[in-house]
Amino acid sequence: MHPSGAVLDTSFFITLAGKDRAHHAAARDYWRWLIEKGVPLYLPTIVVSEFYMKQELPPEIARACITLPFNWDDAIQCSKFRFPLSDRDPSTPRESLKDDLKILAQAVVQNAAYLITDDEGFHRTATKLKAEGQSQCISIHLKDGFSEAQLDPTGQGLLFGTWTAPNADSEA
Amino acid sequence: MEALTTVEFSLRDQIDGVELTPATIGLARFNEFHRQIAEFIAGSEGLPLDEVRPRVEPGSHKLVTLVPFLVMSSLAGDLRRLEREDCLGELDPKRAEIIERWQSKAKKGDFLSYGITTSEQTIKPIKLTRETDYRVGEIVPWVKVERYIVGTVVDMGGRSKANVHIKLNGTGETVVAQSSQNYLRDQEENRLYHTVLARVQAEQHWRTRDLRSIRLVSFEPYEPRFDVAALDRFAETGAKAWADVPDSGTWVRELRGGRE
Repeated sequence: MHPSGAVLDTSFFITLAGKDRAHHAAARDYWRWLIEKGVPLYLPTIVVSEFYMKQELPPEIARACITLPFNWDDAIQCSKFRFPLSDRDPSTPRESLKDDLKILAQAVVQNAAYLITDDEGFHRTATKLKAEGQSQCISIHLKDGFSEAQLDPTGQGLLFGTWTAPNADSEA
Repeated sequence: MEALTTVEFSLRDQIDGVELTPATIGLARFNEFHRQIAEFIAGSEGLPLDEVRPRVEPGSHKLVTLVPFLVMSSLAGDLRRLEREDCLGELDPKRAEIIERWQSKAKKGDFLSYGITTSEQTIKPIKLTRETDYRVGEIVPWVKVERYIVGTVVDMGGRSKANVHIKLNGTGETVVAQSSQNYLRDQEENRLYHTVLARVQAEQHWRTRDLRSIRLVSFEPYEPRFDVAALDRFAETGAKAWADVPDSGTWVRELRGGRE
């Protein structure tokens, strides 16, 4: 079965919640595209715990997402990653890797197609696991802007059809 | 040529004082026993059986199978575990289910017994009789989990026991979750044939990840809709809430472990 769905990271929501942030437009475009294409949006409870430190997710945002509690099979998957700490990117502290890998394990168990993040360290870890064949999940970094080309897990054409990001005027 | 292991499944019984043999076994029992053997070999992984070669022999009724290496590598571990009677919790759940069924039948029959022997020297012969007591033991292989599933409600209710049938969006598989009549009656929205986000609790097999005893906890709000006004309100609140966080990625890095 094709991977399907997008796991959303804490950094994605922070950027989505800030109009003045550099990558806000990309976050908004992904949010819109994924919802309009009916792509499941996964919200790990780890992300909820981090985001709620400063802001609540309002019901209109939360009810667009499918909550992902950290379960037994997520924990088993997490333990299976071959990721020696010596291999980590120097910018990624070793403690933070634990939460990164937990979220990535959830993405693998869900067979999610994408991870969307605005966090360089997390993006590198996820990309490394994908390159090694340990994860099917493509990491999308908001700094690269919105691109439909990134939303094709096979690289052979769009999985969910075509879509053009609207400009700000047409949203209203 | 690939190495094949011989695995013999025997069914011993008497019918009206006459020993059960391939010549005296009824078709229904013949089919049932052979189907159970196929399920036992395939396990819950659904191992391919195309290369497994069966032949029927007397003794009293015996199905002798030649099992290829790949299938045997999955089967052998469980056959070794069956040297202990308190092993069912550690077996593949499908194989444990078949052993439980055979054990239960053997308890009821005066002459009925089941046996499994192999050409593999390190695997001891296994016998199920009215005296044996294969059981789960101390290792209960099921852990409680909670999940959120999305799908279409294709059936709900029930005269004595209420349940909800949810056809999952991703796989098309239908999950049956137990519920209560009160909870379903109190639903203000019509859920039937609508997409729902259901919060369920279940037991998950520690090794195979199979789910069982699925119970509906609640229907959760689920409305994936692009709402410009809601997003604007979210960003307005967010601008204040995250004003002291210049870079979201850096903040998350620090929160998850700090800088070295």
